[in-house]
Amino acid sequence: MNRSRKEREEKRTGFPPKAEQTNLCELRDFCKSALTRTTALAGLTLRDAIRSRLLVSLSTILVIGLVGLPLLISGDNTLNGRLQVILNYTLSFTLAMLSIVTLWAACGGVSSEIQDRRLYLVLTKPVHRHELWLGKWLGIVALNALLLVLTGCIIGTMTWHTLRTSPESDSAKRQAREQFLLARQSVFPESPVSESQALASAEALVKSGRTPAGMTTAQVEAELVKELKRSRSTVAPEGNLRFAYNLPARATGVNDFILNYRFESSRPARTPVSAEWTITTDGGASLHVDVTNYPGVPNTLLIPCTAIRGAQTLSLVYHRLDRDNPATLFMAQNGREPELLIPSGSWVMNLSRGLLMMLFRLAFLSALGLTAGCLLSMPVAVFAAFFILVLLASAGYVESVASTGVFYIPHEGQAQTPTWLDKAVLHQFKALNFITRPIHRLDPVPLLEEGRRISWLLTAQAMLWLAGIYTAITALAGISLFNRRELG
Amino acid sequence: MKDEGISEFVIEARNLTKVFRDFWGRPTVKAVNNVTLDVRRGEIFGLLGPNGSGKSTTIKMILGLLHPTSGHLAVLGQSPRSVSVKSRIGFMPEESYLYKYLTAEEILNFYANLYGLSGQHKTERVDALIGQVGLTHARHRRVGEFSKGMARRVGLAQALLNDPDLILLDEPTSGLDPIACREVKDLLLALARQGKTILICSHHLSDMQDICNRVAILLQGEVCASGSVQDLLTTPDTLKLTLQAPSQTTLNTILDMLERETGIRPQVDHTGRTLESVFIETVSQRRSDSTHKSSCSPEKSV
Amino acid sequence: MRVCFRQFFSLTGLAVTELFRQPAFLLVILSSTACTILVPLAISHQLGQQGHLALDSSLAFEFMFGIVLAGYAACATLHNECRSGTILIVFSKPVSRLMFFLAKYMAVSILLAFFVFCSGVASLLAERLTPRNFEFDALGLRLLLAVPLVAFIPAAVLNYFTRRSFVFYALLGFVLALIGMVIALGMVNGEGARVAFGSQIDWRILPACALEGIALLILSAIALSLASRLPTPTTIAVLAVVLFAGLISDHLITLLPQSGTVRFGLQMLLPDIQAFWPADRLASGGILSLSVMAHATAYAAAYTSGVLCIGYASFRNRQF
Repeated sequence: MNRSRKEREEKRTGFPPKAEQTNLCELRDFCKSALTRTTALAGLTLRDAIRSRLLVSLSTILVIGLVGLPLLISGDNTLNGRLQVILNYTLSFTLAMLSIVTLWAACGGVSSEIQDRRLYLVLTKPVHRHELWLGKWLGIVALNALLLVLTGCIIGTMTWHTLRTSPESDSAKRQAREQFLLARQSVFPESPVSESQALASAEALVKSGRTPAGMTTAQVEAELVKELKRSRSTVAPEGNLRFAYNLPARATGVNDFILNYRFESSRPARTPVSAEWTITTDGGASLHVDVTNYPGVPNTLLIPCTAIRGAQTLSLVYHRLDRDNPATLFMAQNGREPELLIPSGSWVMNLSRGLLMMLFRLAFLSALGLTAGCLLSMPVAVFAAFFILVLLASAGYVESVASTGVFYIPHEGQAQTPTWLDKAVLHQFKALNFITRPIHRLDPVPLLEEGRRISWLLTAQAMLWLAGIYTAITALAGISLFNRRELG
Repeated sequence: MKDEGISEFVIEARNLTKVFRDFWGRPTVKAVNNVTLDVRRGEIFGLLGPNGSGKSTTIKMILGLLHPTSGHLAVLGQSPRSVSVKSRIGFMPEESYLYKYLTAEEILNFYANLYGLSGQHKTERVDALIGQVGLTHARHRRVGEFSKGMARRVGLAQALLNDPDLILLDEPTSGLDPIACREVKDLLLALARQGKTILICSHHLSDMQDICNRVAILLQGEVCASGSVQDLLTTPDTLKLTLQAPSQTTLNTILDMLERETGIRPQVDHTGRTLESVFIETVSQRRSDSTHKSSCSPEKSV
Repeated sequence: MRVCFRQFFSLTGLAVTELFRQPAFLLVILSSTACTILVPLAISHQLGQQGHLALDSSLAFEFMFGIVLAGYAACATLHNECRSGTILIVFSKPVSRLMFFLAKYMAVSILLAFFVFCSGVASLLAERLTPRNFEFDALGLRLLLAVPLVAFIPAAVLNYFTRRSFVFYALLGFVLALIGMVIALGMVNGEGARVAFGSQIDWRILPACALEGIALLILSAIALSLASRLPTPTTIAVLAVVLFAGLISDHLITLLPQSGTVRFGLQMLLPDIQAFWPADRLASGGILSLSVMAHATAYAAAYTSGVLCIGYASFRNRQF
């Protein structure tokens, strides 16, 4: 410790600082005893939750909700509908309920112990306040882990039971399994012209003098790209549209592929559109599927595995058959290109990764609740923490305001220039968006509901951001403020 | 830095002041005002005072739960906020703030973990203390079901887990019956003989008088009297004689002589026992009688 | 008899004072008002719907925050008193358990009535501030931002100079500021032009909120009956389940066989919260007639009496 730091330490505490530990054994003993204390506090938190029947009552509510909701909401009473309900409602219910309970338990974990003065007996022992904080945090995370394991088991059991007892045919069951019980990754169609090709074409056009006078290469390139996009997204009556997909690996031929697509019509009347999809593999195999779809709604095409076995690339051609319908269709607009969902891992592992991401999110909420509980009394801490939870839940709205820059539209005739208040509020939204966007992006529930693959990379990102960075920042703030707090 | 091993004073307070403030930072209550006191190693020190005199605030500052507004406070030669010093302190609060869902044994095990005790040593220590405070029969019962006296015993046991050098006790005999009070007092005296330093806050002045070496009396946050119990209680200009009752004539002669000497006729009264000693004797006698009867009786009692 | 009344009002008054001074009550009112007014604004910003959305969401928030408040108030006034032991001091006086129980219910009801009033005012503002044709009321938004300042600054000043309770006066200031805002916005339209007072405000919202308030009285009776045994989080969780089950009670009953004990029992036990949900009636342009209110009140009175009887039966035998 250097001299000025010693002097500052002595001035602050009134005592000369202790000599630094340089002995490795002492350091090892120190770490071991710190770990013992932290795990003792974590064990106490968990045991308290079990003995106070918190775990039992939470498990009961979880079971009632997870089992009861699908029973109450049967959807369209088809197998697909029932499976959709199980996956959609149960995951959202679990995350919402566990978020609320975690915040409540974390806030109460410290603040109610301070109010009851049980914490006095703990803090008069050789326990650092950060060990207390960490111990409580670990205990709540362990509690959440147990409940999430229970959730996973219940969802798995209910899904298996629904499939097994369904009166539908085997092929319908197989189709349902393909659609809902498989992790899938998205593959988007290849762009027919790359940026460099567009640039080269633009340069050639400008050089050849076939462009209007005064137009720069960049402008020509922009127009070319726009024209290409238009040609890729519009389908005239009896017209075609082609999409080429490069698969990351050869199709095994075990599971079907799913194509999600959506189109808009140039006419307001929502008349159905007859068309034919032609699916061609690089091996030459070809499959024709007739479809009738409505504009403005999501559509799904199931591509049977037998037709695409061994394929590395797929070509999908959408050919309109309705010569009497004069409407022009717009597909692949605003980033909504037809999305090919290919099998990419087991559903069980995908669900496990999703639940792990939920656990990381709950770990962050535990940290938030504990920090609030360290500073504020019990009901106030809960409200403060819930306010932050609501802000996080509003991340989508915050993002839209931050990106569009539009907070409200005044009446006609009123001044259009934003006032200082509008600018100030907009800056706040942008700052909030900076904080909430990573959390919003790392929500596993929409991915699980759509059967999309949650990669290990995404899971690691969730761990890094939620359980790592955000939790660490919250913990540092909470512990430092708790260290300064007097317990009178 | 003072060498903790040979420092005479375990607690040193110099001009200690604590002012509580409101939300706006304005002072509201001066709970402790310029308190100066020293607690020597191996002594039993009593902190007396009416309600609201600043005793609990002083104890909390010694434990590092509150920070002094001004002044100097050292516990075992270190700042009271230092975590390491707490491994040498045992604290028994006025109320037993225990985790009601845990059993007595689990609570002691938990606190033993916080002290860094482990393995066989921890088990032996916990077993010994449970026996010492008389809770062997209730070690597996949840503390939430305990009576106040039993909870106080657990509180005392956890204060002694780490074999502390300094023991702080806030109303240690509150809620205990006279026999248990006697046992606690004997225990504290035994600990003092082992070289431990004990600081007690209590309203039971007779208990304090029995065991304390020195006391300080606080009033409105200030020390208004302090010193050894002997010095405080002694009135130097009066004497007490205890003697076998003589005949009336002899007694009158003695009284006349003393009246001539001092100018005041002394008062004569019979000595008596205290209610506490009568209680202890009666209960102990009854217990030993019932033990004798049960050992002699051919049938066991249900 | 006079002594009984005095005891009853003393117990009620003490409980009400205690509840009003709790920071949680202020926070519930603030949160409820904020959600009621701001959420429709945020959603309307994207969807551009009319006041219908504001009405639905404000009524939903009233239920949601109402059960939290009912559960919290019931536990704060009964469960915590049992746990801390202060109830022993009350029962050492000549106070019957029935009177004590009813006084607590009265206190929780007063609290909820105040909450329903605040919720009604907030709902009026939410509907009035909802953008019409994608256009926001700038004056209204600016007044809204001023409300917390008008409420909290005087309370803070009062607390600084006279040390009076910040929570109580902030709550009072907040409610007065909201009422002032309703009066101010009632006199102008969205473009700031003067109009006949109240012509731009949908006053049907007030009886709708009152109808929901009657349902909350039923739920608060359930909360009080549970609070003698269960802690706050469990009480609120059970209330949430009862509310949800009550809202879908007609659907639940149709799932059961036509004639059966379970169906009969469910019909008797589950409160028909659906009858207190006025959003659908108002959405089609209807009003809440006096007969509807009278029927609902009579049902609530009967159901609440039954629940309180069961709650008292549980509380009467409770040992401390």
